[in-house]
Amino acid sequence: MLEARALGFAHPEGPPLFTDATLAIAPGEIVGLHGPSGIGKSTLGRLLSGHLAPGWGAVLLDGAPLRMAGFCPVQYLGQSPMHMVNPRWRVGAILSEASAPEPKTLAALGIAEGWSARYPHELSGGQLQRVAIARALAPGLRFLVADEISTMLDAITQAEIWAFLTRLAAERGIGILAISHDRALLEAVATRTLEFREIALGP
Amino acid sequence: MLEITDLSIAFRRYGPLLTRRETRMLGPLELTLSRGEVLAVVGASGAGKSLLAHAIFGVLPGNAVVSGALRLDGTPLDAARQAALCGRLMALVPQSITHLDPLVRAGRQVGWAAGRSGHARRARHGLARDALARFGLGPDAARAYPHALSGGMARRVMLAMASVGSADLIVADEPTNGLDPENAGRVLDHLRSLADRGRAVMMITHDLTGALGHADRVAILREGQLVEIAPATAFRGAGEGLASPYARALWQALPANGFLVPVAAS
Amino acid sequence: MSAIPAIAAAPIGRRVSTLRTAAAAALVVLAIPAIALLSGRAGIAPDFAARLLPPALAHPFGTDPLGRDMLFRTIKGLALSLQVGLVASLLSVLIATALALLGATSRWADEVVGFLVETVMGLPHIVLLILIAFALGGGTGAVIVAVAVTHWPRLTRILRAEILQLRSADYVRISRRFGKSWFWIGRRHMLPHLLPQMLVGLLLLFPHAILHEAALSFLGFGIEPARPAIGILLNEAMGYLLAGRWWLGLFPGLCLVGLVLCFDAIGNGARAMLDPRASED
Repeated sequence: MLEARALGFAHPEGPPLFTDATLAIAPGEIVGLHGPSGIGKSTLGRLLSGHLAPGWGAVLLDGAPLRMAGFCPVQYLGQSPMHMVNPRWRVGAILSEASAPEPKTLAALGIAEGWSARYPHELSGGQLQRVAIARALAPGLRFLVADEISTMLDAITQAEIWAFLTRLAAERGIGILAISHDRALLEAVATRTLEFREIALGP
Repeated sequence: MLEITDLSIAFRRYGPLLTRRETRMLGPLELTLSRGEVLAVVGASGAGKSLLAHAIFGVLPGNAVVSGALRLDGTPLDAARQAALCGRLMALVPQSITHLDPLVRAGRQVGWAAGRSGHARRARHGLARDALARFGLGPDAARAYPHALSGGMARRVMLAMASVGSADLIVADEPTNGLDPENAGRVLDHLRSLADRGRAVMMITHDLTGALGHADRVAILREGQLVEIAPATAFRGAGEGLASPYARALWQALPANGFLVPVAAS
Repeated sequence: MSAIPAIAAAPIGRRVSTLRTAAAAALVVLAIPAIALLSGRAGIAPDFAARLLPPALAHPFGTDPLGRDMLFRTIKGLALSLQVGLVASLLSVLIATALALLGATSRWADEVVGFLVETVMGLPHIVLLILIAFALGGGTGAVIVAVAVTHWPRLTRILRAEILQLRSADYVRISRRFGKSWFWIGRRHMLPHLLPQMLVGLLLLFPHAILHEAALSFLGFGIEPARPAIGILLNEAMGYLLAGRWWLGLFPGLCLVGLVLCFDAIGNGARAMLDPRASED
């Protein structure tokens, strides 16, 4: 169980973005998080995956604070995969940064062997997003934060990626937080959808 | 009013050491746009949508190699005419708020646009006020500096700039990016009303669903290739009205239409 | 679009001409120490039968008051400048890298580094150079140290900004959550971005180092007067300018400027090769 308990965050010298975000995700569950852009959904996603340190409150994994050492069981996937990879690394190195990827996973995501020798700018956004997903699927993974991961992609790539993630949740019991401003997408992928305003900004 | 024939765009790049490559990024494609019409150009990021807009206005980067012909009202649109007509007969609504001058109040910038399209200095203030009012922006917005505008308001200021003059061709690059549904809908309504008043509108977007409600025709771009131009009404049901398998697959892959993964691709 | 040429034979790109210039400049720079080594005692051994000769075929740059050939003296001077410049620039890059890395370790260290950068940049360069060279008692070693400890701030700033940007890059944050140590991230993620900056920084430091070495030697705080450094040559020429021996100062001075321009060209070439953003014409 991944929990956000009364999480709050403010940029240095800025007003708090939110002060009281509370949610829980069970293993194997896909939870949608909906809200307009710029409201703080991404920040909440980054807090849950340890990319940012919370100003208030805590992120709990099975009741204990999220550990900041070693492979983090909660991994973050972002909207723009170009920013998620080192532009000077080849795709092969990117894929195996956390652990050697399983051939089965690569095949399921449609990642071709020939990509390994290429640089990120030689792949399309959709191809690179598949690479970013495959990289996060190391053995210790338990939860994924998918923050607008298909916003920049065409509908077909979006459908393919979410078909894969849905299977991943069902087969490996990975819990997924799907963050999006697209209600139709969340209705199609999520088991339940939370409204950011309601869980983070109070009544 | 706008005819594009056999347009293709390639980029010259350096590879390792001194090898030079030309990569075709767009085309060849044919496209026409008439007055009173909204044409949506839809594609994923990297499909070449923005290149199309930049080619029409002649603002591609220096290493772009362009071939083909553009005609505006039957006359070839070459670099000299592009420079002369930009802001007069045709106007671009750019993608981001950074295209506004941060040090100048919004109303004054709309006034500049009116000046560019040939209106006398005295008339500019009034024209700017009227143009902003058409997009639901009052005197407060006119007095504001760009940083004080929300994303939706900035977008509407840029729309006012594009339409304050007599531009007959208006190209909007991702007009709804980063806007919440309510503001996005309002911006699209405005674009529709510009076309209804006799202008030609090209709307470049990655959001097929958003485009359908407001466009007459939809051009689908995929990796620089024009896949299909279909009337907006063809996008319904299981997409039987669509000619190309790709357009049909795209339509069926939308979350609201079944979220189907094409058999061949999976 | 009809006026725009179709996809056809592309003209020679800017990058090709930049690199051609850089290669030519590199050849010139490499030729200097080679000639200096191979020319033996030419320009060092006095020849009292040929004192103060104006430029002619036998001595293209003329001769000095001791009858030494000014062409070879100039080349040997430039070779010495190159040696001093190379060692001083390398030291400067090392200092800059060390300080930039140090600044990345903690907020406190960052403020100290920032303060040092501001201080050294705020002081007049030449005064600082003279003070340090003087305090160290002059000589080649003193010049090297003085130039090295005054030229690191600009590169430190560039590297520091780069490190700050890298540290907040998404792929670095992701790498942290993969459990990678800062040392590993520095080596694998950051170094590939920093190395090109360091190399270009080194090449662009070179001309500064050479000019300041010459200035110090000219003012008498630098290299020992017995060695044919460019600054020494120019200093000696001063006394003869009014007597009409213009060649003593003109040619060494022009060659020094030429060498500096060569490094500029090499630096630009290196940047064109290493900067991925420069891959677009």
